[in-house]
Amino acid sequence: MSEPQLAGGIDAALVLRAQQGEMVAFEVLVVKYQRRVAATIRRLVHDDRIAEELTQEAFLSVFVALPGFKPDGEFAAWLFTIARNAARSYLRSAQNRQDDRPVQWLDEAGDSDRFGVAPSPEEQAMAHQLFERIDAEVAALPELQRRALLMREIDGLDYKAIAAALEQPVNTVKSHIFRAREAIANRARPLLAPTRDRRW
Amino acid sequence: MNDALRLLDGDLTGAELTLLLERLKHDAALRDEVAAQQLIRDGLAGLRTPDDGYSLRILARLRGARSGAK
Repeated sequence: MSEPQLAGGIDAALVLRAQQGEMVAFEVLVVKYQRRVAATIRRLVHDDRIAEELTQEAFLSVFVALPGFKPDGEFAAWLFTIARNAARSYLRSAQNRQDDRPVQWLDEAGDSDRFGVAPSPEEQAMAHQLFERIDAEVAALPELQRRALLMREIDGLDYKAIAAALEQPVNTVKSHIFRAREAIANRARPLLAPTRDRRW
Repeated sequence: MNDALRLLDGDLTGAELTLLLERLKHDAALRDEVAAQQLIRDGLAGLRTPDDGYSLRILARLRGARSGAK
């Protein structure tokens, strides 16, 4: 590849495109971060349904404030700050209420469309099966592929740091991680098919 | 598949990103590949929630807010 890679990383590039009106760029950011945002909020509010509402609110707030965000800033840090603030604001308002009735928006009609319903035992079993398959595939990877992948996904290291730790060239590390992801996806794909209509 | 991985990693040029975003608007299989690859990444990182339409509901809320604002 002769052209330079995206300056500032993929998030900055997607933010910039979203600021220019490309909704699909913001959708990629939602797909990329929604589980982490939801998990952050869930840890604070301890309620799945409220966490989902606040996750939606956080992304909506980010989207509304996007025109004022500087693309050279750290998008993820900004997003998680807004998410945590949404959760803290909810907790403060819950403390201030005289009773423990749910807040108004949770009583509205049509909630099942807006927030979904709790996963059924079948859905939970399918998810369990999927993640077991992924674990098994990770365990079966060649050692360098597995170590590189886990450094990337679990430790959050960048390619350069992984290359230094494994004493391998950066491009070799990229290739190992790429092949590992392809192998895992190939094995997981049959288990992903039944939930196709629930993804982006 | 390669394109989905390269998008999530940011392993592409600005021109390639432009093309990929254009494809994502029309290519449901590519959108699914991006979402599935992210699901796997999140799973590896310990975020193991069922695939129950969470992101679709966020996107529906965003679209609703956008159309309401017009």
